[in-house]
This record gives sequence, C-alpha cells and structure tokens, in this order.
Amino acid sequence: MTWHRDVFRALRRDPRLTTSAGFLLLVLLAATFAPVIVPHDPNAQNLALRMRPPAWVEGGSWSHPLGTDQLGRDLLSRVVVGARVSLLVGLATVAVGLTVGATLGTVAGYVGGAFERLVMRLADIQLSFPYILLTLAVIAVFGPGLLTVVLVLGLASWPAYARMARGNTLSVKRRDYIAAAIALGGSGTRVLTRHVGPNIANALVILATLQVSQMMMAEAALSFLGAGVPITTPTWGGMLNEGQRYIFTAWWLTTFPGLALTSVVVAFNFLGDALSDRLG
Amino acid sequence: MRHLVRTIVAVGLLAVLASGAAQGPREQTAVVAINIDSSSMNPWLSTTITDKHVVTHLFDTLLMRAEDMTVQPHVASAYRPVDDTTWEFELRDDVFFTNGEQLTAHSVAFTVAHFRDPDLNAPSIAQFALIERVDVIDDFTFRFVTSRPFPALPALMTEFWIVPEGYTAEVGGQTLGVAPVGSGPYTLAQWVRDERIVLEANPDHWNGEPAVRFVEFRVVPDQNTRIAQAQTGEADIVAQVPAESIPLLERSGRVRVAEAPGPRAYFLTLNTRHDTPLRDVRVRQALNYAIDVDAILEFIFEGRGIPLASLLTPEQFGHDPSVEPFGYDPERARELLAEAGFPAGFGIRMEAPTARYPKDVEVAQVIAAQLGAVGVDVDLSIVEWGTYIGQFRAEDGPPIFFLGWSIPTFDPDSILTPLLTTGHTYDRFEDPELEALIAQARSTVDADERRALYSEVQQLTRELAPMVYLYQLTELYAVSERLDWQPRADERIYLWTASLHD
Amino acid sequence: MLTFLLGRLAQAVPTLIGTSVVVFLLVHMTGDPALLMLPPDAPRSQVEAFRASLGFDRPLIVQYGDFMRGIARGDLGESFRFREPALGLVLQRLPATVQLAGLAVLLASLIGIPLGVLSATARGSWIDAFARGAFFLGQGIPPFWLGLMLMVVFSVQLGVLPSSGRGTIAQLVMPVTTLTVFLTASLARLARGGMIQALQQDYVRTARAKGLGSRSVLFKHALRNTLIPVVTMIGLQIGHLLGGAVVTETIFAWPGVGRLVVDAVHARDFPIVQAAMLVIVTLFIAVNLVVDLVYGLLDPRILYE
Repeated sequence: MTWHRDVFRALRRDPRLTTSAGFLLLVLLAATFAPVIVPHDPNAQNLALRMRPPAWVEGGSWSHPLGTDQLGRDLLSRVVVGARVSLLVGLATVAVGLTVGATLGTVAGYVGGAFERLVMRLADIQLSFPYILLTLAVIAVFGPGLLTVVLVLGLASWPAYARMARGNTLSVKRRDYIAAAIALGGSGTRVLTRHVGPNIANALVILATLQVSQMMMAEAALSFLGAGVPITTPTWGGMLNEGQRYIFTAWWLTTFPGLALTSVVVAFNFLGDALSDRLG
Repeated sequence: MRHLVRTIVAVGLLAVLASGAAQGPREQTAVVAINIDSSSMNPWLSTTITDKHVVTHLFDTLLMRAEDMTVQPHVASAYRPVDDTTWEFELRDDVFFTNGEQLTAHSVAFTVAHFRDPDLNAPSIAQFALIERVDVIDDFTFRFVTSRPFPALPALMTEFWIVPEGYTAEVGGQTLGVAPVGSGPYTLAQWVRDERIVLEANPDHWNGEPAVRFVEFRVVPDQNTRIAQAQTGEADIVAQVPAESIPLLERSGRVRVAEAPGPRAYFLTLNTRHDTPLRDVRVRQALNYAIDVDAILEFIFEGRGIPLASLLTPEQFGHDPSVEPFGYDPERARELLAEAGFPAGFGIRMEAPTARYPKDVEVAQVIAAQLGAVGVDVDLSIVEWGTYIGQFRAEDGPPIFFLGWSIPTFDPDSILTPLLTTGHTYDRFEDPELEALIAQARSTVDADERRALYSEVQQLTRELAPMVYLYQLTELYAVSERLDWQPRADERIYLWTASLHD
Repeated sequence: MLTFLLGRLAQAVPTLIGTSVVVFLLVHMTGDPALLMLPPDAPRSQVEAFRASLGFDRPLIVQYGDFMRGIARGDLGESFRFREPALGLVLQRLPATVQLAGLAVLLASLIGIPLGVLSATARGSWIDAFARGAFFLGQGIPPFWLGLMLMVVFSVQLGVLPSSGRGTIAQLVMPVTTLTVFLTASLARLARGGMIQALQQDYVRTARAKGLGSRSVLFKHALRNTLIPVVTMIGLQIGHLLGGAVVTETIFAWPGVGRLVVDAVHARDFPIVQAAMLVIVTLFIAVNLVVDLVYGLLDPRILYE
C-alpha cells in the first residue's frame, strides 16, 4: 500500500491542501475536546441575556464572543459542541451512502443484465421518495436518534452514488485496456478494483464532498421532524433551523453555525478536489 | 382510464381559467397573507383557521360575534329559549344566496341535514350532536330541539353557516367546496391552488355592500416571507407576527402593529393514570410553582400575554379573575416535592410539537430547564405534529404534553369536558367532584348559576392542578397603513367592516 | 435501439408497482389522518367512524387491493383534505415545478459546464482558483439563507423584485437564482474533475502527441468522457427538483409539487402522497431513460444490447 505516501507528498506540495487539511484537523480536535474547551455549558439558558449580539457589535460582550441565542445560550459554545454531531452525521451518512451506492452501481454497470435493471429501478423508486416520508416511517419503527438519522440519510443518498458509479463504469469498461484486461482473463473483482475503481473514483469523490453539506443540513430537517438527536445536543443544522425564524432580527444565530458549516464544506471540497486531482 | 382522461382535461381547463381570470386592481384589494391554502370552501368541510376566514366571507352564520366577542343577531334577527331544551330563532326576510335562492328556515333545516349526511363525512360537527331536530314553524321561524339542556347553543350558532338547499342538493357537498354559493358579504372570484383566493364584494348583501371591493388571501407559507411582504407593502394583513420583528416592521413606515388577545390557552397535560409521581397532587402543584410563566412571557414573547390560573382564558364564559395563577415559587415547589417524597426530584418524559404554536420549541426548552432547576429532570422530545397528536391520544404516550387549545364558542365546556372528565378525548385525570361540577355546569341554562358553577370549577382545578397552566398570548398583526382594520380575539380575519384609503 | 426502448418501457411497470407498494406501506406507517382531520375534542366514536369512512378499519392488504384496482382505472383516490381527485391536484402543481426546475437546471448547465471546463484547462491559474472558490461557496451556502438574503436585498431594501409568488418573470428571478447557485457549483465541479481526468488519459495524450490541435482534441475526446458524470448529475438534479425543491418553494411561495407533497405528508393526506410519488417516479424513469440515451450518444461504445 502506497497511497498514504502519495497523500503525504500531495499535502506537502499543495498549500491549499495543507491549509484545508489543517483546518479540518483543527475542527476535529475542537469537536473532540469540545466539552473541555467551551467557555459555557452550551445548554445553559439565561433568558435575561437572550439574543445578545457578538462582542464586537454594540450591545455585545466578550463573555459571549459570538453573542447568545434566543434562549440566552452562548453561541460560541454551541457552535463548537455542534461540530461533533454535524461532522459525525456528515461523514457517517456519506460513508454509508457511498459504500452501498458505489458498490451496487459499479457492479450493476459492470455485469449489466437483470442485476443492473433491478438496482437501477430500485434507485429510481428510492430517489422519488421525499426524505420526510421516509423519515416519518423510519421513526415509527426505530424511534428518534442518531442511528435513525444515519439510516434515513444513508438510505436516501445511495441512489445518487449508484447512478454515478454505474454511468462511469459503463463508459470505462469499454475502454481498450480494460476490455483487454477482461479478455486476458482477469477475475471480475480484480478488474473492478484495479482498473474500473480508480477510473470512477474521481466523480464519486466529488459527489461525496457535494453531499457532506447537504447531509449536515438534512440532519436539521430531520431533527425538525422529531427524528434527530435530542434537543439538548446542539448541531449546526439544528441551530440554523431554530435560528431561521430570527434571521431578520438576530443575524448571528444563523450566520455563525452557517459559517462553520460552509467553511467545513469548503475545506472538505478542497481536500476532495485535490485528492481526486491526484487520483486522476 | 376514463378517470385519467377526465382528470387531465379538468387540469388543463383549470390552468387556462387560472391564467385567464383577472385579479382585482391592487388599490381596491386588501391582501391577507396566510400560511396555508384553504382545503374546502364548503363550510361544513372546513378544518383550518384559513378555511374559517374564507367561508365566513362567503356564507352567513345565524349569529355573529361582535368585535367585543358578544354574540349578536345576524341572519337570525332574534332568538330565545322556549324551555330548557328548545330554542326559537327568527330569521331576516331579506337574505338571498347569490344564485337567487332565499335563505329561509328550510335552508337551516337543510343545512343540518347536509352536515349530518354520512356521505359528506363532515369533520367538525361533534358539538352539534346535541341538536336533536329542527322544527320549522314558518318560513322565517324555526326551533332547535336539543337532547339535553344546551346553554352554549347561541354561542355555537356563530359557527352555523347556512348553505343553499337547491344548489347544494343539485351539485353536492364536494362541488360546493370548490364552487361555493352562499349569502355572505363576498363571493369567490378566483381560486388558484396554493397561490391565492380572491373574493369580490357582494353588492346585494343584506348588510350592505362591503367597502373593500376585493379581498385576496395569498398563500405565503414561510413566516419570514410574510414579514417581508408586510415590509414591502405586498400584503396588507400578516397574522402571528413575532414580537421581536416589531421594530423592523415599524421602520418600514408602511405598517402598524395591531394586537388582540389570542383564543388559545396554553398548558401542559399531566397523565395521572400511569404510575408516575404526577399522581400526587403535591407534585402537580410543585410543577405549577416551578415554572416561571412571567419570565417566559417577558423574554420569549416580549411581554405579550398573560399567565393563566386555569384552562379558561378571560374571554371565555364564566372566567373568574379572582382565581389567581400559581406564580413562580421554586422554594415552594421544592418543599412540595419533598413532602410528596421526592426531595431529590425525579426524571420524567415530556413531548412538545414543532412549528405548531408560536415559539413552541423555545418554550418547551425553557420549561425543561426550569423544572430541572427544582430537581425534575425532564427528558424532552420534540415531535412533528402528525405523530404528536397520535401519541397524545394514545394510551401509552408520554406523561407530559405541551398543548394550546382554542375554543371557537368561547364556552369552557369545550375544553373542560374533553380534557378533565373520564371517557372523553384525553381521559388522563379523574376526580368525581370535579366531574360532577363540570357535568352540572354544561346543562345549566341560567347564566348566573352557570357562571357560579364555573367559578367553583376554576377554584377546584387550581387546587387539584390536573394540568400545568401556562399562558394566553397576545396575537400581533402587521397591518398596512392603507387599511383600516382591527384584529379580533377569536383570531378571525374579517374584511367586510374594513376600509382602504390612500 | 427499439428493443432497448421497449425493454425500458417494460421495466417501468414493475417499477411503478414497486413504488406503489413501498409508498403505500410507508404512508400507513406514519400515523392516523383521522386525528389530524378532526378537531382535538372529537369524541372517540367520531374518530372511529371517520377512520371507517376512509376505509382504515379494513386489513391493510384489502386497502392495498382497492388502491391497485383504482390505479388500473386511472383513479388514484380522493384527497382526504381537499375531497378532490388526488392525481388532479398533483398534476395542477406540475407546471410550476417543471418551470422552476427546468430553468434552474438549464441555467446551471449553461454556466456550470463551460466554467468547469475552462477551470480545468486553465488549471492552476488564478481563473481556476477563483472559479473553484466560487463553486465551493455555491454549494456550502444553505439555500434558505441565500434565498432570504436575496429577498432582503432585492425586495425589502431595493424594492425591485416581488418577494414571492408566481405569475410574472420577475417572480422567477430569486427562486431560480437560489436553485441555480447550488446546481451550477456541483455541475462545474464535476465538469472540472472529469476534464482534468480526461486530459490525463493515454489516448488524449496520444492525440496531442500526434499533433492534433489542442482545441479539437479537447472537444472531440475529452469532453465526451467528461460529460458522462455531468449528465448523470443533471439527471439526478432534475429528479431531485421535481419532488424536492421544498425549501425554495416554501420561501418564495412557489406553488410546486414539493410543497404539496410535504404538506400532504404532514397532514397524512395519503392519496396525495401516493399520487405524487407515482407521478414523480414516472418522470424519473423518463429522465433516467433520456440520461441513458445520452450516454450512448456521448460514448457510442456504451452499447445498449
């Protein structure tokens, strides 16, 4: 295995890559040690101090650097703690969707026939269902919680990867050198992993990074339906959702979790882009 | 297949009609931004508040609530009780439906038959079940005969919309819902689904032609967008404005903020059927003392609301202002919990809905924190309304629910019987004395006697604390400067007494 | 080709049946419409009677049988709330949805693909850096936030665009922009990634080495392969927008299918949800058929046997 050497070489050569990887590492560390490093209990309410603006705005104070939310909770602490579930959900759901979808899609494109038809028509059915219906049905069976979130979002996102993987596999498997590998009697698995996989990874990595932000926002929509993590666990999506009603009156409620989410997504994208550039 | 073809043709026609029909000129139109489209314009199929706004413009009711919420003559010019179970109504003789049919006592009898037709499957008629029959005396006189004394009947008649017999019998209840013909102050000019409902003044209305020529109910589902529409002047009335956006609205220079008490009582239901600490009256009282309702009102609603001492709001019949709210007293709460054998508190589950009531998620979180402060560790779940209402009615649901309850009739029986007596909607609390009082009050026709009974009920429910009483909110409305209109305590938006100016 | 098309049409039937089973089961898992339709003080007897009137007192399999018999007649049932044929209510919303989705995808393709290709060919330059930054922001900004900010600026502050609604061109600007920003970003990124990969393929290098003009090399060979993931994405996006542009539709009061479905799920208006799912899956099958045909056009080696 030499891929990690490639990754490290890539990291050294590309400053954007180093920056984004460093930033993500920092966020990851902050999320891990969140309970220790945050200045306030993220759930401690103080109604008298509600909706205080950030410190640098008139009426703000450095005891709440990013201000307070609609219940007087410290926004900075909530944003830092919120990274935990948001990152977890973003990565876990993408991992589930990507693994299931890419495997089914690649095999479908490669072997064709009845299996391909079955997988692709299942994907059509799955894609046409609104997540809200899926969510309400899944809660009815499993109840709310992190597992429900990952299950619903993973389920909802596999068809996108499957369609992407299949489309690219269809095109790649006709290429001369792969056709040659097949003709030379390479086993199916070997051809798939050695020749087809690397050729379609590019688009899949881009799709996966595209999905991270959507998944983190979808988590909020699920919480809104009562499917998500407990209300006492702050998440970026949840903060965006709760803050949406105050967007005209207290901009910081949505801006800071939004910035956190956007910058993590941008960093993931730089990372994914740079990696897929190398993979290509 | 024929079905399919018919549907497609109908859709095509609708699309053509929708694009062809003209909207009223803006200067003659009052625009009301609403959050959801009407589901049916047949008043007996109406369910949401939007439905009720619209159908009351299109159809007349027997009686009408005035702006001070007193019940006044309307299409019925007079009414009187004949005996404990008989009410006689006299109708005006100058009321016509817009298709030319005259509104008579036969229309009233037909209306009762219409909403009881099992094929119509009308949703909101439980309260009318006490009406046993309609006796038509002559064209303009009739009697309601009830199965037991029914003192709230006149109040209920403000929700009795009269439909035309000839037209309804011919087209059916479903078509009446999309092509309504009524006798009301407005007629339907245009209905584009999920976009707008345009009503046009009825020049021949018995009460005179309304000053505002067109009323447009415009569907704007997002609250932020509705507020933006008030700021830009696109909408003339926006209801349920959150208090913190008042400065924003006033800065626009186009809008004033009008207010009226809301129709809803907010409270926490406590299930005393299961083996939880809630069975102990001291625990229930402790919860009432532990919640700082004044702080919730001050900080979350910027002071717009009042704490409640029972399930009755001041506008309801028989509300007794001498019964006082518990007030915030965490020390007393801790003492009561200790007396009840929970000096260290206890853990309990609570559910609250999302996007149902103003600031529902915020309030639920504050309540959980405040109960936590006296040692009651609340495991709070936020649940989507459709699931919530199912769990609320299920036997094995969580012990505490957050609810708001409005009563169109302003008659307390409609909240006390379902929530505090056995064998009804909720049925999670049992006290024979209370139940006997409620039963007696609901059948007592004499108003003073009845009021005295409800006074007793309020004292008793204060003492037994079967619920945690929270608050009644003041509803805020953004109203454009060009519109002369006042909000009402029953939340209804009626435009026939309004006027537009430049 | 003809066999391929006929085969795909034949596959539509089991797909629709599969959809009908899944949607039927899912909606029935979500709860009880009677409780939502009736006022909260409705006595239990009325709730039971109401359930019976909707047919919910019968075994699920019997209800499904009725549903399928209805479908065979082209009758997808009557909405619980509106008391009108559910299919008609869904089809009424379709023009608005198609208009919004179509415009957004069209614009996103016209802007995103050339931008992605340009960014790939000028890889490493400041154009590339700028374009990539823009793509990333475009997909990182929550749509509701973008939509409301557009509204604050263009409707409330400047007063140049109506805040919401449908009917005039001006009312299209903000919802289309909100959707297009996100779609453009994803298409551009796929186009860029695919182009970079294609340019590194042996055959393109060979073609270049043979002295073919760089422009024709790019367009003849590289672009074709690049477009396969892009076309897949466009297909996914169209499908997604047909049923799922709920946030944008809600903020801008756009009367589309997405909002209808979400409202119907919340109200447990099963017939509307079922009808909408069948309509959406039908459109999806059509969109994906077109996508597969386009694969064949882009890369004739992808044979449809």
